[in-house]
Amino acid sequence: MLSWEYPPRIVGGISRHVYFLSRALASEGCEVHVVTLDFPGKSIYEVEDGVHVHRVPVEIGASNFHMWVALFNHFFEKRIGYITHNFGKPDVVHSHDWLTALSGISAKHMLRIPLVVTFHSTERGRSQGLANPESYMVDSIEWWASYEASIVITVSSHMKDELIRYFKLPEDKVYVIHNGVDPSIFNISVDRDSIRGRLGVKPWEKLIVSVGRMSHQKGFHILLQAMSIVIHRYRDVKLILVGDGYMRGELERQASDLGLSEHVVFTGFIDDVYLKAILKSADIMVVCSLYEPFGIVALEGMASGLPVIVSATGGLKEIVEHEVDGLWASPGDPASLASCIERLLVDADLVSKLRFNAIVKAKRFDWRNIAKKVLEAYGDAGRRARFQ
Amino acid sequence: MGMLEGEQGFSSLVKNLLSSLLTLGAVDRSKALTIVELSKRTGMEARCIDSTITLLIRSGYVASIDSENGARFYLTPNGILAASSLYS
Repeated sequence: MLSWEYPPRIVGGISRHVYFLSRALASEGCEVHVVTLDFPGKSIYEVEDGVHVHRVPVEIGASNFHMWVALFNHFFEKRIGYITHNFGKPDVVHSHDWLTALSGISAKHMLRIPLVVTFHSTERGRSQGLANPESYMVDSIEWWASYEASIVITVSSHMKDELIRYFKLPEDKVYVIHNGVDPSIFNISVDRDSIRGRLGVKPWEKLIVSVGRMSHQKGFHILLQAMSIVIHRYRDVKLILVGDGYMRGELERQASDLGLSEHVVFTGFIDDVYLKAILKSADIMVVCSLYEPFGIVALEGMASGLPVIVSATGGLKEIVEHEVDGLWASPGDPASLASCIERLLVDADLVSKLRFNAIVKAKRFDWRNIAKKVLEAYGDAGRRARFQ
Repeated sequence: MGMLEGEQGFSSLVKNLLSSLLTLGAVDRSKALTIVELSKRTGMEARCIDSTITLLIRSGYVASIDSENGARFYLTPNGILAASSLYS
C-alpha cells in the first residue's frame, strides 16, 4: 500500500484511512506493507500491529513540489523492489491518490500485478477547477492513474459520480467503499473538567469543536461567521478549532475582527490521544467543509457520541442523515450553520436523539467490514488486470 | 501565526520557504541547510530568507543548529505537517 502520509505524518484523511485499513487487512490474515515517507524520530522499517511500515527517505532534494513528488515515487519504487526481493512478490499494489500513482503504475508493470487506486479527492474538487499549469498536470496524473488501475476505489457515491464524469470511467470500474471508524477507540473515560479547563472552557459553557486542515476548502471562515451570529444570543459558548494550515493566521485575524477572541481557541496540531479527549469533552461537532469527498472527522465525532452538524455536501450527506443522526447546514451559509448550532444549544431532546443514533450509525462503518470489501475488490482487480 | 500571513493565508514567501525546506529534504538536523545554501537552491534572496526564517522559527515550524558555516535550518515535525498541508 502506497501513501505519502501515514501517522505520525497526518496531513489529511488519507493518513488515518491507510493506518486503519492496513491494520484491518492484517487482521484478516494479509501481509500488508505500507510504503510511505520518512518522519523524524521514526524508523525506516518497523512492524506495527502486524503491518510492515517502510518510511522512505527522499535522498535527493528537489526545487519544487511536483519534482519532489516524482523523486519520492522513485524512492518508493526502489523500496518496492526491496520488499519484492526480501518478502516476495506482492499480489496487488494499492496507491492512495495521485501522489503515489506513479510508483503504483511502475510496480504494476514491473511486477505484473494488479493496481488498485483509491481516490480520496480530485484536483478539480480540491482546487474548485483547474486554474494553473500544475493543476492540469495533477489532473492528468489522476486520469492516467484511473486508466492504469484495474479497479478504482473511492470513498463516497458523490466521488464516484465525480470520477466517472471527469475521467470517463466505466461505471463498473469504480467501487464505493466508505471510510471507516473504530468506535472502540472512543470508548474511553476522560477527565472532562480537566480537559475543558486546559482549553479555557468554563464549566457552564457549551463546547463546540471543529477539526481539520486550515484550508479554504474546510470552511472554517464560515464557521467563524456563524459563531459571530450565535454569540449575540448565546454568550456561554466556546469554539475549539483543532488543526493547522496556511489559513490559520487569516482565521485568527478573522476571529479577532469579529470580536470572537474570548470565544475561539486555536489548538494547532495535536496528537490523537488529546484529540480523542477533546471529542469526549465537547458538546457539539461542526464539519462545515465547502468540498468534502468523505469527511472522516464527522464519523469520528459520531463514534465519540457527539451531535454533529455537517455541510450538506459530498460524502458528508452520505454519512449523516438530517434530523436523524445529525443536522445538515447549507454549504457556505453562516446563517444556516448558526441556526443549526442554536438548535443544539437549546434542544436537549434533539441532542439526546442525535447522540444515540450517531453512535449506532458509526458502528456500521467498522474497519473490519471495510477490509472485507477491499479484499473482494482486490480479487476483482486480479481478474480484471491488463498489462498492455 | 498572524505574522506569517498574507491576503490568502501564509504569505507567498512563507509558502515558498516552507515548501522548499520540505522538497530540498531539510527535515531533520542532519539535513539542515544554511541561508546561503537555501538561497542558491531556491533562487530566493538571502535577505528575504533571513527575515522569513526568523518568523518560521518563532512559529515553531523551523529549528536551527549552529555549524562551522553558520546557522543551519530545518523543518520541525510541525513544520513538515504545515508544509505538506500546502498541497493537500
